[in-house]
Amino acid sequence: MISELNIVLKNLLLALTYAYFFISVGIFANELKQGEKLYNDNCAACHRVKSFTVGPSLVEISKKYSKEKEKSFLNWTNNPGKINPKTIQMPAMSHLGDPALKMVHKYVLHATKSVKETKSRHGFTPFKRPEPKYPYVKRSYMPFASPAAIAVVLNDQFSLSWDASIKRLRYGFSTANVFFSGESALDKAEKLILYKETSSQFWPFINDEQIEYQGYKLKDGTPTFMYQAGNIHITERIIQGPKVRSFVRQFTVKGSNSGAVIDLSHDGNVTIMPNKGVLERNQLTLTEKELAQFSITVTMND
Amino acid sequence: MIKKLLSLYITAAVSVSATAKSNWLDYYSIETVEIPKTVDHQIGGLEILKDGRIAAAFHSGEVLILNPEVGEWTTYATGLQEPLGLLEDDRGILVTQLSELTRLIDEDKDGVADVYQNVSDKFGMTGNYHEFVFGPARDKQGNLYISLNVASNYAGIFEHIRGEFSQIGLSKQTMQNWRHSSWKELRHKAGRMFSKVPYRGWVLQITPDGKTIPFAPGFRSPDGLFVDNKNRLWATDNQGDWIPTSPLYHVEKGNFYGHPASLVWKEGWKTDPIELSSKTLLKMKTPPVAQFPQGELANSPTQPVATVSPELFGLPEGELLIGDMNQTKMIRFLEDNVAGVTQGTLIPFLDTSALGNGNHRVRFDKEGNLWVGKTHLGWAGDEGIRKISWLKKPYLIADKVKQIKGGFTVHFNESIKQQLPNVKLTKHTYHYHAKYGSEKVNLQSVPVRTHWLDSSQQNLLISVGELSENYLYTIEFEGLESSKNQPLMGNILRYNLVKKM
Repeated sequence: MISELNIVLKNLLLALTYAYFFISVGIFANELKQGEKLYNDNCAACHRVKSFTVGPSLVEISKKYSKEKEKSFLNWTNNPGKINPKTIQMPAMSHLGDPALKMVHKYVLHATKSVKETKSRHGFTPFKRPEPKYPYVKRSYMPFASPAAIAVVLNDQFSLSWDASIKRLRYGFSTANVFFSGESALDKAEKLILYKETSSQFWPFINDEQIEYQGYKLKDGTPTFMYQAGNIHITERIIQGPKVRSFVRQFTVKGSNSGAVIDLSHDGNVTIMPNKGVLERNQLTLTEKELAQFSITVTMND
Repeated sequence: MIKKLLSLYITAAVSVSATAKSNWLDYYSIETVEIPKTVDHQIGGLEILKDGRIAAAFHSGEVLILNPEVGEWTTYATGLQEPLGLLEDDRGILVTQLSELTRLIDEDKDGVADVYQNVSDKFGMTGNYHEFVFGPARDKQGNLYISLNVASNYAGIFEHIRGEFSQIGLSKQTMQNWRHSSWKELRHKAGRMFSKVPYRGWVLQITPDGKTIPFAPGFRSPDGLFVDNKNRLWATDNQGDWIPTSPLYHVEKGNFYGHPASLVWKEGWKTDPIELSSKTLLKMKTPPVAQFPQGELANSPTQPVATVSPELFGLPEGELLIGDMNQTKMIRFLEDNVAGVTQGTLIPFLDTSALGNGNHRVRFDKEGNLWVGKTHLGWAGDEGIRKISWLKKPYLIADKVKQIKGGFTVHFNESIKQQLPNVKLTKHTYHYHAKYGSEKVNLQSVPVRTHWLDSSQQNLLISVGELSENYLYTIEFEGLESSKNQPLMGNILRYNLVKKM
């Protein structure tokens, strides 16, 4: 009798265990499914399973937030910080709520079981720019200039930054990539600047910012900038000078009914040679006739 | 054992939920276009030139032109700053770059642009990485439209900026010092996205005589601008702060489209946008004509384009077709007008992994092939150009979705089976707030009272009773087939109900 009861109890226990097992597996699978949907709707845009895209891969995330670190996962997703400076900031996922975020965490751990990280970002081969043909013109965020700057790269050693916001040349520099990434390395860039214009205004007729920038012509890789100050039309061609680290600015000025004194104040050890007019203490005086067409050669002194 | 059981369980669950998928590749071919290795294959702009050649703008700053007959690319322009849109006009090719709208002119007719003409640079730049410029689109009067991103407070601004600095909110010096550790505590005062120089977050109009006019504020990241056959300007925007899920807007002069940062450039405006309440802004805001539920239909919708003749591409003419950065599908927009309010339905199109994501710029050529340029710019996406051609096989689609009193009618391009399909309806709305995006709010199923087919067997009428304004209705068909046993292509319809009958 007792043994019969025992068997019944044992069977009952076994049945209960099975039921518990299947229910819990069912709940778990359901949570995973929900976690997967939540991941697809809210996270997949930036986090892929195997590879770094906008943010780290699930493989990387799963290493950082193991099963035991669910709480840290919740802390981060509710209020993310920024670890990798090269990525964009992750938005907070607090609107999903902790129960949903826990399901996402479960899914992350599940989806990354025995999955290895693929190394390359996006899986794209990084673009390798071909060897440049000098000279060339390139618009870029540049240091010590407005975001509307234009780089005139004369050769592998010398370039200029011409700023379309103020319609004038800002500086000359030793050609280096650091000049094409905005203000990301100012200290490094500063050391490579060889020549810098310091006058508050270049053309005497009008404030630099009021000059209308009209664009540039591109011939043989060098630009002729076109701009207008009231009725005065100016073109400024920039070409390679007689030395590697030198440049020539060829100007035409139409519509001026007087001469002008142009302020060529600057920093840097250079020699400035105008082809017309009188240059004294960096002030270039031109008659009305000379102003119509003149050039300035600037050479870095070694 | 547990693992085995678990995997069995999951397999079963997945196979139950997965419905028999119809294959888009039965109707369209997707061809990869060869591109030279000398340029970065991320496409910012795409244009079909009048002579049939294809112009593409690349992330590395070039515009190249493809002669599709011989498959040969030539360089048209170089040195551009993140070009994000191309449009041919009678003088050259217009390109939007970070700093200006530029016309690339080939004066000496040697096939290479020699003039980089400034068409408009009458907007500010701070150097912030998020200040993209999109467009251009042109209306029938010859006005051009470009759209300007707002900046992100994960960075500040450059030492030198272009344009007037807004006196509202954080000072110029504070924002220039953003690399200092104090920025972490201060940056929220700038607003998550900010507009510290003129007209960030606006659509600008450039008139044929060269004037730049601030046209409409309220945008965050309006990547897709398009003027349709009826001379209406459309724009897509991206989910984020103040944008609960990505929207499609019909843009009209002077309207406000929801993101408050740009309001500082409204004439006479004095309030810091971060002080504004949802309630105040909601009264000002123009609702979107359509909404793309995040993660389901689109995460970052891109360029709309109008479909061409149905004989060429298989879709009804004049619909908007829209790309997305994250999803491997495109989206059709079907318009409905109720009491003068434009609203409508989004339906997935070409929903196949073969399409890939990053579908950024789209244009139809004269033969009706759809050219798709892809990009990622460090976010989700892809690279390269695809050419999509209809295989001239008809297929079943919904081609009109209209609101009726207490329900919807869905018109199909072919008659459908008399045996009625299973129709599931839900509705939800969103929070409009400064937080990044919104979950679905008040998501509820909408019981279908009755649905029936009209005598043509092309009109399915769905009656649900009272409809709710400012709700997104999701209509899902299961097992809907044409009389010829063809499955419905695009079986989830999302009707953005702004105005009810």
